Amino acid sequence: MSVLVFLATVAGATVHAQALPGAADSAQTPLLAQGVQASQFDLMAQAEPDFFADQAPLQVLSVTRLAQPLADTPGAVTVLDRQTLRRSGARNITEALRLVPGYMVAGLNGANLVAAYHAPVDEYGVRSLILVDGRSLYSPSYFGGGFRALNAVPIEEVERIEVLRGSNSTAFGAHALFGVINVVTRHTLDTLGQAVSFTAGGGGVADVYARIGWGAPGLAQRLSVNRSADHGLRDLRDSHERVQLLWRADLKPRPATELMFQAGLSELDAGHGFASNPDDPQRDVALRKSHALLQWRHADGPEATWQATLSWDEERLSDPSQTDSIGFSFSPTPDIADLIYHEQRLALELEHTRVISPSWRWVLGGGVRDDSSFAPVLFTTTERVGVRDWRVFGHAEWAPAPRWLLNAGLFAGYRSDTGSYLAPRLMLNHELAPGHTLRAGLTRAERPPLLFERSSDVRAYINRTPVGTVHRPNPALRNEVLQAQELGYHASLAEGRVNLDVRLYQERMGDFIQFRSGVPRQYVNAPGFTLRGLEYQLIWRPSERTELRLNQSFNQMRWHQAGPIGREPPARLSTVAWFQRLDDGWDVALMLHEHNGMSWRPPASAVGSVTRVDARLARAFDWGGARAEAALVVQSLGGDIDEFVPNRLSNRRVYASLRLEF
Amino acid sequence: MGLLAGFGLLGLGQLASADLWAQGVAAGAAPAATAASPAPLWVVMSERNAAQDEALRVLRSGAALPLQAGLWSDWAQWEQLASGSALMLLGARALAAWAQRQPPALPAMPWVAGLLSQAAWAGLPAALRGRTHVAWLDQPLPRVAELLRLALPDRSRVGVLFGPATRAWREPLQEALRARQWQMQAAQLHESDGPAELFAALSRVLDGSEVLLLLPDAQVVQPSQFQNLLIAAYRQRLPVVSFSQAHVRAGATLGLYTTPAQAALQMLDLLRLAQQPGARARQQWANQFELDINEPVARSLNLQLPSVAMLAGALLQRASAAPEGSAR
Repeated sequence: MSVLVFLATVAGATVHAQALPGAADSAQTPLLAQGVQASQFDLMAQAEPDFFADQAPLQVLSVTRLAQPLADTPGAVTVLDRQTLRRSGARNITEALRLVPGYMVAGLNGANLVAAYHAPVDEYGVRSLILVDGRSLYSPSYFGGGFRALNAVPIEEVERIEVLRGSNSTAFGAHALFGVINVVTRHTLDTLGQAVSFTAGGGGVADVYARIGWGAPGLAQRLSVNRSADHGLRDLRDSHERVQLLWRADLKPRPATELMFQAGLSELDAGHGFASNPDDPQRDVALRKSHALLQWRHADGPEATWQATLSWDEERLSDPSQTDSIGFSFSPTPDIADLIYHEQRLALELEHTRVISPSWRWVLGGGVRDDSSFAPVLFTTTERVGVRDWRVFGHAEWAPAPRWLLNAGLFAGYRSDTGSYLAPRLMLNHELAPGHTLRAGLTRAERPPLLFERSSDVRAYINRTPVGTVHRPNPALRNEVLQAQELGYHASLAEGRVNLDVRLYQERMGDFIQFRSGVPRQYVNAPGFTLRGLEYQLIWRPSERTELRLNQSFNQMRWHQAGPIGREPPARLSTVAWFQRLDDGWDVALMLHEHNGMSWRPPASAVGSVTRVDARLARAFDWGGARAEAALVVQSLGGDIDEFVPNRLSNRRVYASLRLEF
Repeated sequence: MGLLAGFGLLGLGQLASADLWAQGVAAGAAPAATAASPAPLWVVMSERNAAQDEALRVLRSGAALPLQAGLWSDWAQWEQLASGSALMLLGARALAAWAQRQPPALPAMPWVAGLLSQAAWAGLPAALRGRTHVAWLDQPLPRVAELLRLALPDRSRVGVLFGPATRAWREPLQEALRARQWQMQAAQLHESDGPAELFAALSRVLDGSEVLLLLPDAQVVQPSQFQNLLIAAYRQRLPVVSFSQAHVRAGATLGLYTTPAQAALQMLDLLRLAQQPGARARQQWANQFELDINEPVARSLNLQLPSVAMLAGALLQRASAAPEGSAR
C-alpha cells in the first residue's frame, strides 16, 4: 500500500539523517535535539493520512463483491433492511413478510405462522425456499417447516432479507417455486460489543435477547442467547417457548479469503391441536434442533470468486402420542412413541463466479445434499429413510448491447428416489431510459416431493397390533412443475426518492402435490392451477425522514380440477406502510394490511375482507453510555380478525420492548 | 525494513534531486538579486513522488519568477544559494525539517506551505505556524456537509469516526451538518486504539447511519484496515464519502479532494497575498476541489447520484469562498 511506502520513506529518511555523521556535524542544532525533532516528525508523518496514493490502489469493492443493482435483477426483488425490520415491530421474520407484495401471512395457529406467496396452498411453506446465509431451511421428514425455522432466526441478528418474488429455482434449487427468502445475518464485525433486548406484553409475550460480540478483522465472534415466548391465539392451545443459543465467527486469514462458522442449538416447546378435533388433539410438541455451518469464500482476483458451503442440520420432533384407554397409538413401540422424526442433513455446495468482461459474467456451481430421517412413526421402519440430492446449476449474464441484459440459467438436480428435475430460466432486462427498466422472462421450476409426501407410511396400532394404514406412500408421485411467464418494470425516479417495481405474471402449476384426505390418506398429483396477476411495490421517500411503502397484489386463480376447492388468494392484497422519523429520536410506523376475501382451505373455511393495522412508536436515547431504544407495538390495532379460517381469530396484541447496546 | 527502504529511496531521491537542482539556478553562479534577474522562488519538497512533482510542475509554470527546487534534505545545496524571493514548502516533512534547520537569510522571505493536512499543521510549533502561510489539503467542513446534502437529498444521518488528528473537527462538523438538517453519529478513536477498537466504534457509528464519512485521520483510515472498513460499510449497503480519489477507485462511493495541481495554484495565490506589504500569515482550507464517483458501486447501492459535473457546479455555487481557517 502506498501509505506504508511513504511512512517507510520518512522513517528511513529520519534514520538516515541521524546516521550520517557528516550531515549531523554540519547541522546547526545539536544531534540530540535533532533526534528529538526526528521522532516528532515520525509522529507527524504518521498523522498524515494518504491523500494521494502513488500506486494504483487495490480495488476493494470489485465486480464480484458488488450486489446486482435492482434494475438488473432477473426478477422482482424486495429488500427489507435492518432498519425496516426494526421499525415494523415484527417479533420474527415471517411477520415482517407482510411488507412484501404478494405475501399472505397467517398461521394455522399462533405457533405456526407462515407466509405464502400468491397461492395460499402452503400451510407449511414448502414452496418457498428459505435460506439463512446460504443454508436451506426445511424439514423433509414431515411437513416442511421452513417458516418454523425462519421464525427462530432472531430478528436482531438479521442484516437484510432479500425476497425474490417469483420462481427462482434456477439459482437456488427446488422449493423455490414461489420465490426465495434469502436472509443474510449480521457479520460479527458489525455486532461488536454487547446488546440486550427485552420484549413483554399482552398475549404472554416475553422475549429476551442477549449477545456479546468481540474480536477484530482477522477473527471476530458473536455469541447470543435468546428466548421467545407467547401464548398464541387466545382460544387455542398454541403457546410457544423457544430458547436458542447461537454462535458465529468470521475469519479473514488472508486479504482475499474469508471464512464463516456458525453453530446453534434450539429447543421449541409449542402447543398444538384443537379441542374439537380428535384426530388432532391438544398437546405439546417439542422440537430440538442443532446446526452448524462453514462457509469459505475466496476472491481469485477481482473478477472471480469461489465459495464453498458445508452445512449440517439436526432436528428432532417429539409429539406425545395420545394413547387412550384402548391402547391406540401410531407407533408399534411405545417407548419411542413420542418421537415423530429425528432427521439429519449434510449439504455441501461449491459455487464459482467469474466476470469475463463488463458485459459477460457467469456463475457455475454444484453440490450434494444428504437427508436422512429416523422416523418409525412416519415411515414404519426402524431403518433411516434417506435421500441424496445432487445438483449442478449455472447462469450467465450477458449484455449483448448497451442497456440490454440477458440472464439465462439452468438448475439440474437428481434425487436418489425421484430422479432428475430441471429448472431453466430466461430473463431479459432492457433499460428504456436511465432509471426505467423493462423485464420479460420465462421460468420453469420443478419440485420433487418431500420424503414425507412420497414415502410416508403411517400405521395405527391398538395394543401394539397394527389395525390399519393411516397414511399411505405414493412412490409414483411425480414432481410438481411450475411454469411462469412474467413482464416487469422497474423505475427509479425523482433522484432515487421513488422506487417502483411492477410485475405482471402468469404462473401455471401442474402435477400439484395435494393431500387427499380419506382413509388412508395419501399425497397425489392433482391437475394444478393457473394464477394470473399483477403486483407492484412503490417505495417513496418524500423527505429524508419519511418513507412510504405501497404494495398491491391482484390475483386471479383458477384450479384445473372440478369442484369448489377453495385455497384461493384474495383478488386484492394491499399494504400501506408509513415510517416517520421525528425529532429527539422518536420514530413512528403505521402499517395497514388489507385484503378482500380469500381461503386457505376449502370454501367453507373462507375468510372475508380483512383490514389489519399495526403500529409502532419508538424512541432512541442514550442511557448511561449505552444506546437504547424503547418501543411500543400494537398488532392488529382494530381488534381481533380472521386471518386464517373463521373463528380462529388473530388477536390484538400490545407489547413493549427495550433494546440496549453497549 | 524501514531503514533499508529509507536508504534505497533516499539514494534514488538524491539522483532525482540532482536533476531538480540542475533545472534551477546553477549553484555556482548565484549573484545577488538585481532588477534584471529577480531572486528565485525556493521550492522545498518533502520527497520525490507523483503528487509533489505535479505540484512543482504547476508552481514552475504558474510562478512569474524563476524557480529553484530541491529536497529539504539537500542542505548542502540550499546553503550555497543566495536568498530567494519566497519559500514554498511542499508537505509537512519539508516544512518541519526546514524550520528546524533554519538556514540563513530566510526571515525576510515569506513562507508558503502546501500539500499538507491540517492535522500535520496543528502538530507544528506555534511560532512556526504564526509566520507561515498555508493552504491545507483538507476540504472545509461546510463544503463536506454541503456535498452530503446535495448528493444524498433523501438521507440525513451520517456516521463519522474521529481520531486524534480530527478531534477538533467534531464540533464544527456537527454545526455544519445541523445547519443542513443532518444528524451525525460519531465515535472518537484515541492514539492507542487498534483495529478491534476501530471496528467496535465503526459498528456503533454505522448503526442507524445512512452514509459513512471518512475524514483525513490516519488512525481511522489505517492503511492495513482500509479494505475492511470499505467492506464493512458496503455490507450494510452504506455509501462511503471520502477525501481521496484513490479511495473512490478502491470502492468509496464519492470522493471530494484537492489535486496537487489545485493545491499548487492555491499556494501561488497565497504567495501573491503574502507579497503584499503588511500581510499577515493566512491559513486556508482547500479552495479548489474535484469530485469523483465510483459508478459501479453507486449503481450497486441503487443510488441515483447527480453527475459529477452537476454536483461540482452546485457545490461551487453554495460554498465557493476559500474560507480562512483557524488552526484550533
